[in-house]
Amino acid sequence: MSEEKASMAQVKRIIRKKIKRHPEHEHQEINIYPMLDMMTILLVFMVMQFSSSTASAISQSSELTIPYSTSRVDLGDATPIQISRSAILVDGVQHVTLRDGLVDPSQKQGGGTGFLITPLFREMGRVRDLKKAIAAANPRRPFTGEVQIIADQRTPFRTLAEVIYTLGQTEFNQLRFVANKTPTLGGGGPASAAAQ
Amino acid sequence: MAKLSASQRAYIKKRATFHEPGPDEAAGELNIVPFLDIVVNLIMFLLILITTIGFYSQVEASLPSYSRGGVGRRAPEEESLNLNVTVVENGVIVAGTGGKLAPGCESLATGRVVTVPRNGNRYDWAALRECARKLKERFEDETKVTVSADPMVEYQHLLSAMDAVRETNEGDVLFDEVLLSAGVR
Repeated sequence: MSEEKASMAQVKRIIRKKIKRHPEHEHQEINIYPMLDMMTILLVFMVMQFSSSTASAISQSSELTIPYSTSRVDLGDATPIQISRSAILVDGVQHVTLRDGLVDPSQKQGGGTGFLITPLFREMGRVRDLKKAIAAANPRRPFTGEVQIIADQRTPFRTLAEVIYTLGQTEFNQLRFVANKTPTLGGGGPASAAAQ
Repeated sequence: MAKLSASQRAYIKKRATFHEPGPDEAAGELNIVPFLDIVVNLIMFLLILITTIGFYSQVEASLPSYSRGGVGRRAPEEESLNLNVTVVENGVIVAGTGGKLAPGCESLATGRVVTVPRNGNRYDWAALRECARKLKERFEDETKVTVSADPMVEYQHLLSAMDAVRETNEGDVLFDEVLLSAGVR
């Protein structure tokens, strides 16, 4: 028995049937654009807050271990001076090389017994002049003489005294020592306990 | 039913194939899902960093300032304390106007006395705090303390000494105006 070949109308009917089996694609997605907007704003806010914080400059390592303190005063904004085991940095730029936390006598005025660290004195003089120029142009940002000292907990007092003396000579006399918060008197860190 | 030829079957298959649109093709929009993943990860990373920043605090101190003395000026009527705390290798020396304080912080002593000796191989910060508390009881209006140390004393001990004399365990203020002396004995 031979069957007739299907007509074009029959072919189109078959196609319509097959297409009907698949429902038309519906847009059932949640509108995530408001969430995306919110997240982008949050991201920009956090990046700005982080970049303006001095703490972003602190990167702890074996060269720089921040000491502990029971102080609850939050970090403020001031020129950061970092004293690691091998260098003194002002605003992230190295100006003095240290040997085991001690300043080389050749970098001090008066040699071994001197207190004034010459490269630091020059740099802080430049920073002071810049800050004073800003203060003169903008009275809302007066020169306060504040510096933030981020020093390794093993730094000998001799080095600290030399840095402080040099800062005093350049009119920076408000010192802010950065420390890890701890409720334990005498330092809460394991490294500190070992050092004692 | 009429028989479909091979070409008709191929034509039906071609026309009836259902194409599922991708998320980027649905309404002609960009596929922002990978971007969203990156943003979420960045926010989490920054949140963790900001929490770490919260662990830092600052200890405030200033340098002693010089003032011009006047000739023939009267001495202050009230006795001032001029509290000095010096961290040395074998303990902490507490001194005032009258001289060094003896252990116990009740009386003065002379010679090479250490007010708060080391307890074993550790500094006794609790004893220094107790000493500062006793002094504060006698000099209630005094807030200044000058802190210094031996050349090789570590910075951590200097901060601990400042902590000990700044406030009591209960948070009562003792000597919170710290002057840092660069002078080395």
